[in-house]
This record gives sequence, structure tokens and C-alpha cells, in this order.
Amino acid sequence: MINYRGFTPEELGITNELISNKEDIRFYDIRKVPEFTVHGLYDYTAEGCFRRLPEEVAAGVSEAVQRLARHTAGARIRLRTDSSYLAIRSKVKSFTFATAMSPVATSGFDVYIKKNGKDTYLKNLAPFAMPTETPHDFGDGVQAIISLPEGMNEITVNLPYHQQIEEIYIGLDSKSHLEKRADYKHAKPVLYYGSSITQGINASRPGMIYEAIISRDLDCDYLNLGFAGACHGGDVIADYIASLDPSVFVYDYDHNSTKHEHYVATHEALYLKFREAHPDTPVIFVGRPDFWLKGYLNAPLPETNRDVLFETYSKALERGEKVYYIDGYMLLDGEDREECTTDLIHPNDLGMYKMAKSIGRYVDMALNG
Amino acid sequence: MINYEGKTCKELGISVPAVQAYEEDIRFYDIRKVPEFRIYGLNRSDDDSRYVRIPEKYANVTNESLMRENSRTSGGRIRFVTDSDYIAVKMYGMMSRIQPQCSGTTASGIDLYMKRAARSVHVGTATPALSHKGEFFTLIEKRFPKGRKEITLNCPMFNQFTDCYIGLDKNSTLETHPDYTFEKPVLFYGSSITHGGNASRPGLSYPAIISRRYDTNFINLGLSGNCKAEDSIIEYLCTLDPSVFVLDYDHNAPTAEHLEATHEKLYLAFRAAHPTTPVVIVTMPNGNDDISTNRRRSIIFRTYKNARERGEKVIFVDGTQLFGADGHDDCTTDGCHPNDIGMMRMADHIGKAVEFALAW
Repeated sequence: MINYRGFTPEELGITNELISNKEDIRFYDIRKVPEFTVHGLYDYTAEGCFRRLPEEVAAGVSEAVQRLARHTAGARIRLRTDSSYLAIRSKVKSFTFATAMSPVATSGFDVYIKKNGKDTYLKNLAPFAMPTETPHDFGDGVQAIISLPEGMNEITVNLPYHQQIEEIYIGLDSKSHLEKRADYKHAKPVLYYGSSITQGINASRPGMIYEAIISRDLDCDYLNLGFAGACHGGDVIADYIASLDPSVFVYDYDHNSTKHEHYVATHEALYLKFREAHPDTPVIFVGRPDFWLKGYLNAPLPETNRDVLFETYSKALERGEKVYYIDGYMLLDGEDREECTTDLIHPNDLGMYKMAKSIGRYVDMALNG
Repeated sequence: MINYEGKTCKELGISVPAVQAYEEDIRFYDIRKVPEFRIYGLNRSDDDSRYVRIPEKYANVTNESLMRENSRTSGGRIRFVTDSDYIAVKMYGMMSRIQPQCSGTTASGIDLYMKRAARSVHVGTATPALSHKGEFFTLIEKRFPKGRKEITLNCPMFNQFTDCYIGLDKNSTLETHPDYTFEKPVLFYGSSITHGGNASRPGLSYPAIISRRYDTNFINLGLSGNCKAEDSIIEYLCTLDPSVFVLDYDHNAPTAEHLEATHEKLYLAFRAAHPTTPVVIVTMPNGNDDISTNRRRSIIFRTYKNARERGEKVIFVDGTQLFGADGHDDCTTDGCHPNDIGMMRMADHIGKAVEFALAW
């Protein structure tokens, strides 16, 4: 028996009959029920859009970051229940459409349940309407339901990585039990700062972004501060990152820096600021993964960024600080490296998987070494 | 110097800023009029209005949704050799498509592969904007290295087109693409998965991956939800002369009974027409180990076993093994359709069987 006020499907304007046919279903506001643990968001109980950064920080960085910080990339809701089903009702500002991202990727919720000790993919809950021709009307959010295996289930719901969401309700059998799920083995989050790739673009669904794969492999919490095209370092974001207390800092800042001088001016500065605040926290430097293109196209790549990144790393190493370095050349390594993107820049699932395995090895070392 | 009459940007009504720098020299050539463009994996519809995969004479007798899937150009390729520094494409008669699991690129994207150092490498993808009105123009790639380039364009997987022009520098060369090492096609008959759902782009359907890996031509007859081994389709499959036949329609047989009634029948009909062509028999990927899956697998295995006993060239690939144990649940978008990881693993396993069969 769940002892919170739950909303009926009708109260939330749900038209999906698969949901409204369930007599005992009630929807619980994730902001109001403490049994839902929410990860990867900043002050998720605050009104308005869910966000990854405090509003004043986001606004201080740039207009783009202010907008992108409202994308719920890397956010998760965790719970434990013996309800025989789980439904989601979300309300969005508006749906995002992008050619290389499906609605499942931009707006869907990935449900994982713990099986044999590891979070395992169950299903994606995507916008209910399924139009195949224009106009693309996906309504005001997601309203979808799946059945759960019998008994107590430990659940992680991965939130969309490219969508602004204002409200999320989780629908459960009101006669079932709802409990807090045990925290991650590594409860202190791993922090990722980077580009659109870090944000998750173009994974096929939110559970396939590379941070999420690493999190399942190592059972660690994380915070995704990837902002598509808007990751440029600078004082405001550097101060904010230094104010956080992560277990490991994955410093994946390379791709969005188009001006070399800017990169020189900001890359080490952000690192030093973080290091000053956290003398012992391991930092992993990651370079951009698309160097392979050089062999095939006349694509001028800022190779010199690679030197800057390596210099920040080697200076830190000389000072005896806890740092690791992953060359961008290595991220998509292997026979199929040219197949790892959708558009020569953004990884598809194959690319995300390879990144997760290469970066994950180092996160594992940093967490456990 | 290309010795065909090409159309100018103006004649095709193309006026996007990206093309302005090339406007003087770029000419558009109709893939149907210029024989240097080799078209693979597609046929023309009876009324000559669009491309289809199965000639309508065979596909028509069945149903509307099959007709629709048949117009979707998965496995279609346009191959040519050029030293043009850029490539543009103008397509006509596309549909606007968006589905929850299917991105614009999955549905309508065109993949550009370039052969260098004996490998065919992904160097570009173009996707129509969601608001396109049936016509689609793109300058796919303008950063090509100088010199002769062997090009393969992979056509949209879940969209159709009526006509296609390829834009090249009119002062460049245009030649016929050399044959595949295995010019005789590998034939794939299967489900939405064979069709390409849900690879991120057309070059990553598992038949397309296998084609590049072994440099073999192929025909993709994966018709999403519509591969039910109807008599007319069996008749058509028998008219083809593939190097290897990959029989992979388990997922689309509506029931185990339907599978039982059609699977061996299809195999025997094909075998009668082609006594020595190797057949790779695949069961559904990622099948749960429930009774229905086991029953289906037994039905398919029986076709295989009987053929083995008769001494025929068959290979059995167990679908439940395709994704492997490590990261098994990372292989699909929805518990059924493989993402790129799943497609790659299917290509690994089924590709090994195809490789063996090609040398058999």
C-alpha cells in the first residue's frame, strides 16, 4: 500500500487506454515522494523545468548552456517496487525533433531492472502517439506503461537526453509497495564535462549514452555536464565544477573548442581550479574521438588541441597529481572504427559502447585503484 | 570530362547557399540515363513510377503493407567511380516519415562509402529535413581527397524514391565501378531486422555490413513485418540466382504453425531450383527461451537437419546466440530490434557463415 496522494490517470489528462484501464493505478510526483531517488539533476524539487545546473550558473555561462542545462541528459529515477507494472507520465515544454535522433532517443524513458546483480534493459517508454506521416504530433508528453517481472524489482529509469521536461509522474499499483532503492556501490558521482557527445547525441536511447553504460558496468552514480556545442570552459563553469565533489572527474572538453587560442586559455585553467579545490580527486583527460577522418577526407582537425590537452596532463603528472590520459585516437579503436558515428562526428550506439569500454576502464581504475 | 548532358542547379531548382560555390561546374546526372551508375538491389515498378525491391508481378498478389515495404529501398546501392571533389544528390518522391524508434537517418538517410586501400569506409551521411516536401537535395561531401574514388551510396532503408540525380563536377571523370569480388548476390530474406530496423543508418543493416566485409553484392528482401513466405514470394525467390541464400524470416511468421507450414516448403522449392547453392538458415535473434521460441527453433532446425541428411549445402545459425552474453541487453533499442551494436554482432556471426558458404 503506497501511502502518498496519487493522481488518477484522469487527473493527469491521460488518454492511453492501456493505462486508464488499470483500476488501481495511481501516479506519484517524483518531486514529492522521497522513495524516488533522483540522480544527475540539480535541485530537482524546484518548480519549472528539470535542470542539470543552477539557473544562475547556466545563465552565466551562455544562452546555449542555459537552454541545454534543461535537457535531462544523464538523469535517473531509482525505486524499488513490487507493482506488476510501471507507467510514466511526463509533461514537456515541446518536443524536440532532430534528423539523426529518434523520438525514443530525444524523449523516451529507458527502464532498467536489476537482474543477476546488474541493471538490465527492459524497455523504452516513448511518446504514446505513433504518427507515421506529418504532422508530427506527439502530444504534451509521454504516457506509457510496461509490465514488470513478478516480485520486488530494483528499477532505474533513465531520462531523455535531449528534452526539456516540466513534470514527471510514475504510475504504480497503489496497493503495491514502494521503497527506496539502495544507493549505488559508488554513491559519490563521477562527473563528466564535455560536448554533445558527452550529452548523449546520437545514442539510440538514453540508456545507451556512454556514461550510462559505465554506470551500469561499475555501479556508480554520475553527473552528465555535456552541453551540445556549448562546452567552452571559462570561469563560470570552472568555478561551478570546482564547487562539486565528484569521485572522479572525466574532463572530456575538446570538441567544442573551435578556436585554438581559446582552448589554450581555458583547458588548463579549468583543471587547475578543480585541482585546487580537490587535491586528491582523480581526473581523466579525454580527447575528441574523430581523428580517423584525417585519413579519408580533407578534414582539418585541430591537432594542436591534442597537444594542449596532453600538456595539461603531463604537467599534472609531473606534479604527482592523480591524472589519467585517454587519447581520442583510442576511443573508437578496433576494426569497425569508421562505422561508429551517424554523421562522422556523433557516435551511434556502436561508438557509445566503444567509448564506454575505453573510458570505463580508466574510471574503474580511478574508483578502485 | 563527363560526356553526358547534365542538368544545372537552376534546371533542378536548387538554390541553397551551400551549393553556390560549385554552381558553375556542378551538373546533375540521372542515375537511370547514365550507364556508369550501377544500381544494385532495386527494380523499377511496373508503371515506372518508383523503385521497388521485388517486381510487382510477384509482390502485387499479396497485400498493401507488403507493397509499401517493397517500395522502401533498403539494400539499394548506386555505385560509380569519379575524381570529382564533391558529390551532391537530388532525390524525388520521398515520404515524410517519423516513428518513435526510427530517426530521420534510420528512415531516410543516404550513406556514402568510399573505397580506399581495399576497404570501404563510411565518409558521409545525408538526411532530408523532417519538413521536406518529397524533394531532397544535399551536398553530401565536399572534403574529398583528390584523385579517383570508388563510391557506394546506400539508399534509404525505410523510405522510397522515384528518381535520383547525382551531382558531380562536370570536368571530372565518371567511370563504372568495378565488380564486387563476389558479383553474384547474397540473398537475404527476412524480417524488419533484416530490413535494417533499427540501425542508425543504411550502411549498418547487417546485410550491408556483411557486403562490405566480404566485398559481395547482396539483395535485401527484409520486408518489415511482411515476410511470410507467401507462394508468390517463394516463386520469386526461386527465380533469383544468388551465391548464398540467407533464410531469416522466423520473426515474421505470425505463428509457429505458419512457420511449420511454410519454412521447409520454401527451402525445398528453392533447393529444387538451385541444387548446389548454399543456404544459411537463421532463427530469430534475441529470442527468449520460452516454449514458443523453442518450438520455432525446432521447426527451423528440422528443415536444416533434413537437408543435411540429404547431403545438401546448409548452415544453421542459432539466433539466440547472435548477441552474445556480454552486453546482451545493450544490443537492441526495444528488446527486439537491434541497434548498431546488435547489427554488428549479427554481421559477425551470420557473416562467418556467409564467408564459409561463399567458398563452399
